[in-house]
Amino acid sequence: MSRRLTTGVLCVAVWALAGTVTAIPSWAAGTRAGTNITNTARVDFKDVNGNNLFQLSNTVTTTVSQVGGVIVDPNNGPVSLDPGDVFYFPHVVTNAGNFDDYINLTAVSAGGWPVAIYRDVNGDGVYQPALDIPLLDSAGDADAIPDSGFLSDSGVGSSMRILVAVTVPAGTADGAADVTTVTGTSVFDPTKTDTATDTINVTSPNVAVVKSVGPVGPQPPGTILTYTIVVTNNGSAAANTVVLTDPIPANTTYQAGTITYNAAARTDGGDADNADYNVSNPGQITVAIGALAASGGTATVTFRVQIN
Amino acid sequence: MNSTARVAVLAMSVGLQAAALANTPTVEVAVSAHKEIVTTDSAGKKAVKLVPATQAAAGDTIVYTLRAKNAGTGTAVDPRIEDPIPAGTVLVVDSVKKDGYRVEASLDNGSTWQAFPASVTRTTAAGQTETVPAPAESYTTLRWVLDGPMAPGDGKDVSFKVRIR
Repeated sequence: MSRRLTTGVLCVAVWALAGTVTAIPSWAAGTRAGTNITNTARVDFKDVNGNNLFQLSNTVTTTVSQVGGVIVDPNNGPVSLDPGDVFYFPHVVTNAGNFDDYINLTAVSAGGWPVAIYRDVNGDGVYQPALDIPLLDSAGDADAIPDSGFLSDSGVGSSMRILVAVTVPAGTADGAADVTTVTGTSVFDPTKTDTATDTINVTSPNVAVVKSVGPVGPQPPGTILTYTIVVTNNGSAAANTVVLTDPIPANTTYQAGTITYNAAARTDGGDADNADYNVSNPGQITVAIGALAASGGTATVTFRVQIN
Repeated sequence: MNSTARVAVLAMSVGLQAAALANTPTVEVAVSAHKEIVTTDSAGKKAVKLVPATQAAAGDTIVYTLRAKNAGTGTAVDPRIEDPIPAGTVLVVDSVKKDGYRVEASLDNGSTWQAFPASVTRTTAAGQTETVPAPAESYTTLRWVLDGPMAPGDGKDVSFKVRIR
């Protein structure tokens, strides 16, 4: 992120609004390479009779040489993503040098997650598979590193937009974080670089099941046992389509009509309510819990059996 | 007028010119442009070296040295060296060497002059007028005024720096 421009951190909400991507700033890239800077002095004086005289000096000329310059903006995120998600981070790459240049672009995830760079052809900051193409190495420098293509040193043609696609690997733990660093390097002067970061926080559901029985301890045959199953989502993302299945223990007999869901009675049949016995799964209790909210969403299921 | 008279007039004219030439001041000024190169030796000691600024990058500083000398035969009165800030550069205000001259600055390409360093007036948000130092970018021309004579053979050097935009 350059010190010369602070666009601030864009929030996710901004990306969601079409047409609100940061405007490409115009840069004073400095006097263009090849420009001649000339200086001629003049001296005025009088002779003793008061006549005005003057002389011009020689002219010195300094030719402006090329300097490279790169700006990659902005730093994005953090955004909250689920394992398996792909997010397209928009960036603007600018030639801040004083002559035409190419800017090599690389993007690396600190955690080694899959990263790809696309040219944002219509510049809307949103990935369109039919339009936005993977960034390639252009023939202009042919160094096998994907680059911006030809960028002039001023005006609209000095900037281009890219999308950095970061994939959160499936199975990534809830709460994991990653920073992808996007680096632009001047092909003219590889010592001139700039970076921007894309930060991801992983949110995933983390569902725990706790089962208890009452009464506890050794029981004689004929005892009615009540099983209580508490399903809790301790993750930082909602869990969807949660289904609980529980086989009836050996040497017990399910007591018909004893399923409760969050303290409300449920029928055993495969009907409109979300619980059944021996319908969805032979010999098992099945409860379609559905969604469990992040950070503590919970559901409680009970049923009874009799020891044979 | 007859031809003899014409010749006499011509001879007198030539004589007058010769007398004037004998006492003509000719103040010449030579400009050179250098870059400051900072070198660090093996002991870590830094030294600033000046090299001719035939090439310079945007953002570089150029040192202009103006060497004025009366190469004529007569005394020059009130010599005044004037130099525009070159297009594409910005004056480094604190680099201007006065060197015994009275330095003046123009912010309008020489139409009006004020003592260096220049100031500008502006209106504050409260509607009051205040005088502040002129921004470096606003300088267009500098001149060094020697209030007095410069004898034949005498000279003065002045210098200033600019930064390439």
